[in-house]
This record gives sequence, C-alpha cells and structure tokens, in this order.
Amino acid sequence: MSVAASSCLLRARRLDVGVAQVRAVSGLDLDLKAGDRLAILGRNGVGKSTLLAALAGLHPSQGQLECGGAPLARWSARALARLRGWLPQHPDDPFASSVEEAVLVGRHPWLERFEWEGDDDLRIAADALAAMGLAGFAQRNVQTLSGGERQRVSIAALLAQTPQLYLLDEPLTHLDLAGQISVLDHFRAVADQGAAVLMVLHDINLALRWASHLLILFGDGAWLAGPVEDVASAEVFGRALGHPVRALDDAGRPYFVPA
Amino acid sequence: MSTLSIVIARSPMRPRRVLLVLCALAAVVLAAFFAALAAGEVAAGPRAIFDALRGQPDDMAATVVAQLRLPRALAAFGCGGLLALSGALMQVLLRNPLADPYVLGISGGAAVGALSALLLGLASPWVDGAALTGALLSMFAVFGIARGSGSWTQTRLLLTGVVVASGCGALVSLLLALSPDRALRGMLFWLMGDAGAADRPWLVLGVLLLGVLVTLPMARELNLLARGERHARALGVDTRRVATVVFLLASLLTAAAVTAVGAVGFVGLVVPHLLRLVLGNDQRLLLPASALGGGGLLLIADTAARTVVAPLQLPVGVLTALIGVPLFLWLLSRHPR
Repeated sequence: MSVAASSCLLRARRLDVGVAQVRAVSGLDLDLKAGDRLAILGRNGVGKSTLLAALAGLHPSQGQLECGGAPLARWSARALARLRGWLPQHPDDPFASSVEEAVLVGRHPWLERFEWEGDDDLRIAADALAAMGLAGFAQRNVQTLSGGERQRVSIAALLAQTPQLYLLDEPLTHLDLAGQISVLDHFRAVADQGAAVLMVLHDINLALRWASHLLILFGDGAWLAGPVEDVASAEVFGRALGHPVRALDDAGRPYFVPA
Repeated sequence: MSTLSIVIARSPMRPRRVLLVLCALAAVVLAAFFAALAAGEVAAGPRAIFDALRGQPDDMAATVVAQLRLPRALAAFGCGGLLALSGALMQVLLRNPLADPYVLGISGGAAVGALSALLLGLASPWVDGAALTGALLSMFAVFGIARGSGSWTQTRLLLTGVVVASGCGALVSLLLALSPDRALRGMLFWLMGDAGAADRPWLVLGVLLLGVLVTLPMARELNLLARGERHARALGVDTRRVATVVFLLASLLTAAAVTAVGAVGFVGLVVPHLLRLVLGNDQRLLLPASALGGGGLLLIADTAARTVVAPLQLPVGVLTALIGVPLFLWLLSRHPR
C-alpha cells in the first residue's frame, strides 16, 4: 500500500484508549495531514504514552483508527513500520552496542530477511546521526552515553526509519536547551517536507513554539484538540496541568507561566 | 542492569567479516577436534585418526579413536554448541545478560527426571528418557504458567522460570538425601556433566544444526527484540511469534544437551558473553559463533577432563569453568571501559 499525498496520515474517529483504570481519551476525533505538527499535553499518568502507543498500533483501542487511508489492522506489520515510526520513552540497553548499530535498527523494515545493511542504509544512518549532532559518535558504546546523548541516538534511529508519520513520546527528555530547540527545529523541517509529527511534550511554551495543533488531555477521557490559536489559553492549560497558569505578553505572543 | 559487555567490535557487521570470523572459529574447533582424537592413554597418530574417520580401523589406536574418542568428541562439541546457542537465545529473549540455558528450569526438570531414574537403578537409555521427559515437562509448565493470562512479559517469564528451577533444585536435594551411597557418585557426575555418557552424537549434532538453521533467518529480528519488545514491534517484528519460537527452541536445545551430557555449567552463560566482548552483539554473527565457540570450549574441556589426571576422569563442567573463567577475566581486563 502506498499513501496518496492528499490523504490523512492519521485519522481517528470515536477512539477510546485506556489502560488499567486510566481512561486516556474517550471518543477522540483526530485528523493529521502531511505538514501537521501536533503536541500532546497533559498531567503525569493521564495516559499520554498509552494514547501515543495506541495511535502507533502498539496498544489496543476501540473505535476507528486509520493510517495512510486504511484501517490500522489492514496493514502488515512491516508495511506499517515503513509508514509510521514510534519513539519509545525509556531506552535501556542491557547489552553493549555501537551507536551506529543502534541507529541502523531503524532500517529493519526496509531490509529483506537475509539482506544486510547496504551503503544507502549506512548513509541514511550517518545523516540521521549528523542531524542529531552526533557525527563522530558512530563507534561509541551506547551504554557509555549521557542521558541526552542516548535520547538523541533514539531519535536518530527513528529518523533512519524514514516514516511519514512520527509519534514521539517525550523526545525532549534529558536534552539541554540547545538540544531541545534543535530537535524541535528538525522535526519542524521534517513536517515541512511532507510528514506528520506528533509529540508528547511537557513544556507549554516549547509546545506553542513548535506545534501547529494541540491535543490536551484532562484526565478521565476528556480531551480538547485543535489548531494552536484555538486551543491555547491560560484557563485550558491551568485545568489540564493541575496548576493555575497565566499568560504574559512576549512581543505580541502569549508566554505562559505558573501563577 | 549492569552488563559485562564493554567492547564493541567495529560496526557495522558485513557478511564478509562474519564469514571470516566463523571460518577462523571453525579452524580452531577443527584443531581441537583432532587434538581430542589424538590425545589419551593410547596415543593415536594421523594415520590411525585417518583410518578411524574413514571407518576402517585396523589397529588398536584406530579402534579406540573410532569407537570411543570420535563419538565422545562429536557429542562434546554438539552439546557445547547447544548450550552456548541456547544461552545466547535466552539472554536475548529475557533481555538479561545473566540469563543462561538453565535459568528457566529446563535443566532442573531434566535433573529431577534423571536422578529419579538413577535412584530407581534404571539403565542408561531410561535415564536419558527420564531426563528428556523432565526437561520437557518443566518447559511446558513454565510456558503455560508464564502465558497464563495471555500476555507474557520478560519479567513474568523469568520469575516463573526461576521459581520452577528452584522447585526442581529442592527436589534434586531431596533425591540426593534419599539416595543410597552407591547411587550418589553417578548422580553427582550426572549433575556436573559427563560427556563420556553420550552415545548418540549424531542426534545432538542434528539438533544443533536445526537450531542454527531456525535462528539464522530470525537473527536481525532478535537484534531488535534485544532492544525492547515494543520497540521491536514498532519496527515490524512479530514479537509474539519470535519470542515463542525462541523460547521453545532454546528449551529444546537445552533439553537435548542436558539429556546427552548432563547439566554442564558455565558454557551457556559465558560463551555468548565472551564472544560478545570480542565480536559485538549482532545476532547474525553471535548465534553461529556461539554454536562454534561453545562446542569448541566443551570439546577442549572434555579432552582435558579425560587426559590431565588420567586414568582418573574429571567432571567436564569443572573444566569448562577452569578454562573459561581466566579467559573471560583476561578479556574483560584487556578492555577497560
């Protein structure tokens, strides 16, 4: 299956997602097209990661979920892996591995069973590392990296997968300010080149700086989604994040701080 | 989780390098194989070995080689390969560097079966049969219980296996306590592992070949599984199928090995680590290399076990540890973090 340029990369209708006693969303309607950048905000334990995994087809959900114009269940695992990529939240490495090998796992869905990574795959992996500021790290052991470096290796692996729909679970974890901005800028460029990007974020202002759309989870399945300018308000953020928030004026743009 | 692995082989792995490494390992194994055929109380020269391999032994030395040393060497190689391959698979399946072929209770079940048969004074084919039955029973018990609710996680599988294994350990102690003195020596040798008892080397080698042939097509998927179940699933791996196949296969390999030579320790835990230190953790190389390396180590250990204090025979499990531990520590210290 291939994806027509005009179709929705991700489409959810009346989608229910939950885990154990937590109801992440009830009746979620969502459309993501090429170029869309969606930030998901909400309190700890509200079900953001569960929702993201469900949207990736890695967690059960009820309702209608389509990826690239076809129901998720119709995709083969491999074809789906070429279309949508998912960034896990806590990478851990029980075994040593080089950074390059860790990034090359992203090429798996593009390789035949007995095929080895070719020069193209190595070039894609090197480009992904360079994009994350990790050129020269290829032969380092992932177990010796700092938290932020390890996070950027995970993101590079996702980039090497070259999907059209990116689902990132807290991609800015452990990153310093420069790292956060460069990752956000990179995924803005990725979206501009025709991908759709979803990420779970915690910082309101970074989310506003980056996103074109917001999805706010309030808990108990309640949600609010829409273009940034329709959704962003001190009242909404305060209600969703569990602490009152007020807006400051930052050269004409709102800047939100805890009240 | 801390890990023993510290050094990275130059990545990425290319097919030519894999072939080169495997050929080098095979050469070492071949040398160990001929040494095993030559060494012993009756020294056998190249001529006698050649005659024995052709199947036409016409003097004493050649007969000893053909009837005693050849089957024993083949069985030792096969079982070492089985254990190391199984250990490498278990470490990936459980994502735990401390996993070994015995961690899920396979050898415990086999030991309970074998010791029961020994206690009853049964003949050796029955002991083998009882060991195999015990191994398969504990395998299905662990598989059934760990899967109970439909989902299985690495932690649940590991916990179930560890509990079943310690239950088997208690039964083994009970059997040892109940046994008359004359049966104890045989039981202890079974527990420590004894390649001299293996009488069907081709069966062992066949299972080893099967294991390698089944795992190689899945090797890249196993690389992903080692990085996390959900991550692997996101990259298109059918982790449920892969994990089930790996669990059943690793259990069968272990069952075949312990049935043939008893619960030889150390090979299954440390050979994969040893090779990981030198070769990296790409399963496409590590799995076949483990089969060769484990086989080679047990072959060398068994040759030493029956020659260093001849005519006494040492338990081969002791020798694998005595050879492997210094080798491993040396490799570890050569590559500071």
